[in-house]
Amino acid sequence: MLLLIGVSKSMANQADLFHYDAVTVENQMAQLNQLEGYVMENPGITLGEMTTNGNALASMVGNTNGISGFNLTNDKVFGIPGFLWGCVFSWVGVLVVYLVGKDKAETKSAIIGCVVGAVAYSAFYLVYALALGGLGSV
Amino acid sequence: MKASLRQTLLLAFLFSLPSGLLMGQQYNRIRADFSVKVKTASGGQALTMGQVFYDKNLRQIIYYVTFPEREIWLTADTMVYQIRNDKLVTKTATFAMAEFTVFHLALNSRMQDYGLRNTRYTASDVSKENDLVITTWSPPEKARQSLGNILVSVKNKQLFGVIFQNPAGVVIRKQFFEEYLVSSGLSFPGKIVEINTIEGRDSYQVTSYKNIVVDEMENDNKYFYNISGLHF
Repeated sequence: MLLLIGVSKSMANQADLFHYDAVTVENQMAQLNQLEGYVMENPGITLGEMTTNGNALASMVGNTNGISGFNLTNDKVFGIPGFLWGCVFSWVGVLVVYLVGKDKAETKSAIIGCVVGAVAYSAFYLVYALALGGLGSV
Repeated sequence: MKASLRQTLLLAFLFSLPSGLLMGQQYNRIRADFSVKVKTASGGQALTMGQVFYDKNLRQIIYYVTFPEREIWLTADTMVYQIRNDKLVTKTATFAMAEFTVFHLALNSRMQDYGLRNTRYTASDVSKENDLVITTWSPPEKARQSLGNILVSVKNKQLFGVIFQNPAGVVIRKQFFEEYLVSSGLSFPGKIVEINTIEGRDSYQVTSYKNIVVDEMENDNKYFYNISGLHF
């Protein structure tokens, strides 16, 4: 691995990328925070029960849980290639690709992306293990 | 002579191990209460709450969801299972990627590189700006037409943010790891904020973890789900 250490001019403002508007996020989450608070105050309650009871908070959300909640959007995997989803976003990524993208090729590339890394990593240690084992038996 | 060579190889092997294996304490189990809140650019909203259990030796990530409905989401081997009332609802082929989840990385004290060290990405630049140490991870040469860089920042030796760029360098996704909690010496983010930008419009996801318990001796049955008897 080639590791270049240095601070170039183009990189000087990278830290600025690591900012976000926390107030905006809080505002976006306001209704969900309200719902979350209600659920915490009423442990075990489900959305179905809230709907049956005519609870107005229930109308805020769909019946899709957040784990696969990305499929609330129609955007194709947010424009992110399947390879990246698979390598970095773990199973959630592949699931999202599968659910949202509906594109077998994307899913396949996501899987291959991970396999390549995992296989390379495993092979590296296998070589060492064999080398050590071989020397031990001499 | 042979013993000396063996020792040398052993040392080389140890130094080649991921830093976390040598530097950080190793843990096996973690469980937490979680909530996932999603707000999309189009206004759609979703809330999921429950508990998550993970034992790195069993490699099953099990979400016991209590809201919106009681069900289990389980990843094991190469499959993701959705289970309701002990019956299989969906079964999705995927890849065993427990190794890349925040649970596995935290248990192995490897949060700082976000698991990228185990992928084909390479660290192409490291810089220090203010209190952030920023590493730029670049995709393999052959993939650079479709993949952009990933910037990972560390603050106070804790993973702080991850920025995903498209091949043109435009930010398409941001993740921030905040409100770290410490349980039995393990540091774990209590809040993960994600912002996805598509065509100038942002979608948001906030994941919260509470009541984190590490290496508990109880609840063995919560860390493993016998999927052999599952059927639709």
